[in-house]
Amino acid sequence: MLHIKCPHCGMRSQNEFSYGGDATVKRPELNKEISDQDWDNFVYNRKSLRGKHLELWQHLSGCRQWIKVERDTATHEIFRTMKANEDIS
Amino acid sequence: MSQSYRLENIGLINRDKKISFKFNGVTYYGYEGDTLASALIANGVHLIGRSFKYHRPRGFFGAGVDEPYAIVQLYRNGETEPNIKATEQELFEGLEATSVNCWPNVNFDIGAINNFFKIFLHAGFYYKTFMWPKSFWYKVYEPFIRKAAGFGVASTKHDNERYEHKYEYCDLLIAGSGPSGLASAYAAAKNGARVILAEDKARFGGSLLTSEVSIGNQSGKEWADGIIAELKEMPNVTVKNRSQVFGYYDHNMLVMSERISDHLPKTKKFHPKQKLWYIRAKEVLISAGSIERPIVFGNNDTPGVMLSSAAKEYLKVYGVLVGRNPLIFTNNDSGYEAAIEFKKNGVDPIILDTRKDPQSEIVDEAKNLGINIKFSYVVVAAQGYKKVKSADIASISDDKEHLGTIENIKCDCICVSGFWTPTIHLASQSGNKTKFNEDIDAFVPGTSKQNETTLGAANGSYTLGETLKNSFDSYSSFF
Repeated sequence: MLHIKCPHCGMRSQNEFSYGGDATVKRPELNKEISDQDWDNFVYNRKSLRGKHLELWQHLSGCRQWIKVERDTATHEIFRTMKANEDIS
Repeated sequence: MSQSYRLENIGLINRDKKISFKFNGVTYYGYEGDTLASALIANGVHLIGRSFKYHRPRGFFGAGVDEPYAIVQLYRNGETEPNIKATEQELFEGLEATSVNCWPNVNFDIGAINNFFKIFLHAGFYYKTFMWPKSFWYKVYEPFIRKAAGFGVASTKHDNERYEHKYEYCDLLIAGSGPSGLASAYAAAKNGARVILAEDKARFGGSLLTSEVSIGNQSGKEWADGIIAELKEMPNVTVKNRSQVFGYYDHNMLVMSERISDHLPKTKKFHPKQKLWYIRAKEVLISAGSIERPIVFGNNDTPGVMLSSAAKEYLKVYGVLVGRNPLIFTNNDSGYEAAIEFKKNGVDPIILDTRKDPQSEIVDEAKNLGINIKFSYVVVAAQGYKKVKSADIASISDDKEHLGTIENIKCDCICVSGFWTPTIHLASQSGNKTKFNEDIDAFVPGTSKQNETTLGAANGSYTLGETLKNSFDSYSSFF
């Protein structure tokens, strides 16, 4: 079971968290003509990466905040965690 | 039935408390502190079950978690549990157990007829061969094959016992309370670290309970008891026996099952039967020891063939003789330890050593005690069906390729010792890249992926002094 550092609460077990999917997906801009292909990609298509991956988690049984976690999908190593509104870089 | 294989003045059992139990409907007696296996051996019972397919007789092979044969169906407090190892189940008043996979009984098993048809029922036999005539499959063949499958019977009743879960955090989790586990626990605990010390068996001490060693001016057992008593007093240490660390997951998450009530006739009120611990450890020390390897020869599954370390444990811990006429078959020095224990308790063993001319203290000690040792000898086959009656032995050439003439000698048990294999399961689970150690012909933990260390026999170090020193040194500056 993973040990994730919530930026608000500190180190917590994985079973307090809920996985929220890829954190790098950007919603297509509003007020613009968007192709079906772009919508399709945004809603459904995800890369199944092997290696470093930025993802969203929610601290469901804790502070209930959404956070970003940079994790290696092969080794489960967690490189860093940040608040969901913090920038990626 | 009397305990005719029980010795008077050796063992760690409580002789003041006699316990009655039933095996296959017959009442036997044992003592408090026995396991089901040791109590049965004390009563001279070696036939405990039947093998899965050919229904060959099965006895005891080990003395603990490494037991492959002695699986029984247990009845406790109106409930039944399958697949209990007799070597792990502690004896309690009113324990009932039966053999599995035999009909009508373990002594006369109809299924043993398979043993005579083994030429037709070879390994990998395709049971769908029983196809014709078509109507026979549902009515005859399938019910029959289904009946033959599996060992014990699962309970059909609702389980009324309570099972608990617990989350725990610690600085150091130690799996195994042998010499290295105890020394490390003591060193780390003195520094104020939060330590959990887990021992699979009921007694702490691991190999210290069975080895003739002294630490300072104390025996191994006294030293272990002293350390455990001191650790139990410390508020930062949790000491747990009957607790097996069985899983190593990501980010140093370990799982341990504590058998709280399995050794009692009835679970105490408001107590659980078992407790599952989820432990998040900062560091883990695996001091799980090692398991003796068997040696292969003909009919080495006959009841009465067992590990020499198991024979020694039955003798030293339970005061039970596994046989009065033992043959010890070894390729290393540790077989001699069992032989010397036998000799000290008035039993004359014969040692067969595959080596030609081994030089070590313990071999000299055995020679001085007047034990019959045959060098460059091997067991070719065990003879006897439900119990070892004799053994075919032969000398072996120096290149280990040619056998001399085969002789038959009488014996009632064969204790085998094929050196030791470190218990590296937990280390492997943590993602450790194991490496092969040529010196001991076994895999030992290599590069760690998580915060784990392996010390002692589990790391292929078989000398007590070195193990103790390494363990103290590694954890004296911990925390």
